Amino acid sequence: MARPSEIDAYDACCGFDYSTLEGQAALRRVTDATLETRRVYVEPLTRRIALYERTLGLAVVPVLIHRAVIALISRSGLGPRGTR
Amino acid sequence: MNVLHVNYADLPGRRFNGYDLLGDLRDAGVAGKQAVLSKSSTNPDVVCLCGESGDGFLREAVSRVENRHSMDHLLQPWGRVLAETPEFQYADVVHYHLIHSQMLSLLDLPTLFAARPSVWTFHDPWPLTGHCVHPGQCEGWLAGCSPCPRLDALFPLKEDRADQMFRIKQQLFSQSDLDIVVTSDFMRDMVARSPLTGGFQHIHLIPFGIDTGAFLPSDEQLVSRRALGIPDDNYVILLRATDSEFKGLSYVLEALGSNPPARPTTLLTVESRGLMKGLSPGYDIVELGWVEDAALYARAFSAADVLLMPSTAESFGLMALEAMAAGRPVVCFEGTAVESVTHAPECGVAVPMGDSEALRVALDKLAADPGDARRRGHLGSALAAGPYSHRGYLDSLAALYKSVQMRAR
Repeated sequence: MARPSEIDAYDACCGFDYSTLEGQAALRRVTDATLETRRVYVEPLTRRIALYERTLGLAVVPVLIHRAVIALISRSGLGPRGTR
Repeated sequence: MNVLHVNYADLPGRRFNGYDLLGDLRDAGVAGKQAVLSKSSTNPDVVCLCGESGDGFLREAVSRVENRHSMDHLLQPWGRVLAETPEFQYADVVHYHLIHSQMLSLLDLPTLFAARPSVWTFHDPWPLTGHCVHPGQCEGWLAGCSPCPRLDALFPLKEDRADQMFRIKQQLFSQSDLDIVVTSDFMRDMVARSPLTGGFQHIHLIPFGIDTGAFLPSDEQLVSRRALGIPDDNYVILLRATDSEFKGLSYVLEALGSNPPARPTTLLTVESRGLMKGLSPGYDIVELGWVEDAALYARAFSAADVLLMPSTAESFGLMALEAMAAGRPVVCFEGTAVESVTHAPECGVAVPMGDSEALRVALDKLAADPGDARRRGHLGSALAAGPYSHRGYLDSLAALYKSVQMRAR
């Protein structure tokens, strides 16, 4: 499951442009999820934190898919070889 | 007519954030409500968007995530909460004030502006920049804020994404139709130069007004000094003691500490205590702390000979107007709104930005020439009673609300 630390890693290496339509749509989904979290208020606090972190991760699903594809390509030997 | 004022808090800054307007505009047929995130009053006309138990946690968590990812007002959910309130839905006009401070997401603004006829007072230049509140000497806001030289300014960014925030504001403003209010020539000039606000058709200059009746007449000066424990014959410099980065404390310390005063001088301060310690051998220091009591506040202006206000950034400078209403001259820096609000050089005295020696020269000149100080004080009183009158301010706002409502029909 995506966690904010993964967003950090992505931000550090690639950056993320929030001004794109795709970026803004992702952010709006995060706000949807925030409000949903607020509605599900009766749940214990820790559960709400976990829900928030999970829903925040939705904003970077396309990013994670991109990273997974890169990893697959590297392992398959089609991409540039690493050095020891 | 129902007007909803939207601001992050009710009582802090109540003189300009819409709270005082709730009562002040009633006579003009404007029924006011206010929506805030942080409610301190018990006023039933103020609705708190963030009042549920647990909302404080949520607000903090969202702010933390924004901060971690170098976003500036993109995830806050309170705009959507606002849109669902009956106060918003029944408002004829919604007047936005300070909506940063973790209040509204920029992404929600076009929807809010489209839903109700809207007015936004630009209390500071934040709407015109990629993230900072006061760009000061930086002119990056004229060309997209890329790169940002001051990521650590208020609402700091870990990574330089000021250009992204700038582009987001540009996109959102291009989709929005609303009336903008600015309170000073300084802000009007910034709005006119900004590439973000070129599409706005309705920009209004409405300076804040002041109730001159709240201040004491000149012949009360001696009484005020005795009430505050200030020697009768001292020269009295009133100033706001705060370590806020925009209020110029370091210039005060430099200007006053450079050499001892020519005559016995009292530094009369409001807000924080203990910041003038370094000047105590040469000056008599009277610290009032944070003043809530309006009568004591008026006493402070009455006791003073001059207001020293060396802010490095101000979009209006209400304290300068208060000094004018009390008939006291103001010494300030050039390059902020205070210069134009005080009508320097005729009324206020403005010296080059950052020049503490010039501040000292200006203070010494006024101390040595009471006739000039008196003339400037009288002119300030006349301006406060004329162009800056409270009545005029209220009438202008009421007329604006009516015109916005009519146009929306």
